[in-house]
Amino acid sequence: MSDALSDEFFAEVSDKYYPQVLEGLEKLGGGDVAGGIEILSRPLHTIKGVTGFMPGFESASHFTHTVESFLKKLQAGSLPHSADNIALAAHGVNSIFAVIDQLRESGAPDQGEIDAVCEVLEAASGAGKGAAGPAGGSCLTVEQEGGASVLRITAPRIHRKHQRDQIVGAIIATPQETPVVLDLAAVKTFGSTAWEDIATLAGHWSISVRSLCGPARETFHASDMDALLAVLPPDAPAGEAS
Amino acid sequence: MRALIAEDEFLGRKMLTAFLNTLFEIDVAVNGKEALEAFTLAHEEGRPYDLILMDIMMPEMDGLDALARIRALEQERKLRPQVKVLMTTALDDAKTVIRSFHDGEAAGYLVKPLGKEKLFAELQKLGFVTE
Repeated sequence: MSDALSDEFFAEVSDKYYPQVLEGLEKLGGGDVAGGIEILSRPLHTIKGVTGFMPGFESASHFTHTVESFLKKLQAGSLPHSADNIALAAHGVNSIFAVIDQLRESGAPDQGEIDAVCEVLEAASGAGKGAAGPAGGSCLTVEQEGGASVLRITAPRIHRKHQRDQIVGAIIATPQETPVVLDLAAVKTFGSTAWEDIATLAGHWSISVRSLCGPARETFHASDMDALLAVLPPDAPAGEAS
Repeated sequence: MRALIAEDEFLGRKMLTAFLNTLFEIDVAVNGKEALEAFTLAHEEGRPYDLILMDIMMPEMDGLDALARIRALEQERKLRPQVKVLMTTALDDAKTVIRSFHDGEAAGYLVKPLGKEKLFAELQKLGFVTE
């Protein structure tokens, strides 16, 4: 039974649910949050239910439940329809399909990836541990590397004003002829307001971003920062920024 | 809390009633048609069911058909929240399982034979029991 069910399920996911989800995500990205979530709810409910019924797929069911809960909070208005939250919702939904692909290909999901996305969603919902770190704490270190000034962001989530002020302050403290590299390897989410603050400096300093990934990358592109800042791969030497 | 057990077999009804009667005020229906009538009546009384246990293979109207009509009524009359429906059935084929979740928006799916432990684990997932 289980093999027949998983075969049928994977076929349904590809043929039926994925197109529905793409349509929902398109609406969500276009600003129709209620319409987008309405379309997403049916395929996600089915994925949650069927994976919960199939032995070995339970973690996909729990994960889908977490994403679904986040969408419900957005739908109910208990979370603001901010660019950050919409990007997180889209990231969560896309991650469900990544998990299903992993189940199809290897029979097991990447639990670390699931936990990381759940943590980000729960933090954005106000339920996570240490959503943005204590107010006033340092969120970065500054290092010199290959003639560039590397601002290594150490807080996993950058949303608060004091964090934005620290980043802006560190850039301003850098001589304008020195390239600045923002290293985001430790960052999970980076608010669109923080990107906007950095955008105001982009014409005056040569700023690059390194190790951009996950929801931070989504808000980066949603804020059109790719037109202003160069993106370096994770292992690129900071000197390449110049 | 109110629950409706839709089950055509006498022993099945008796067993599920025994499992649930400490948690719910229970009504029983012997087929999908009666389940639909009970659902409608409960709403008219202003005391809708919190949970429906729905068998699938039943005479006159099967459980999936009854569930589709319940969802259509909820949609048409804007009845919120949707009632939570647990499918309780001997069928475990892929199409029936997927159809229950996708078309019927079932909250869970339990394959017979049912034991108290299996049922309560599902009720816990749905928030009807704790721990």
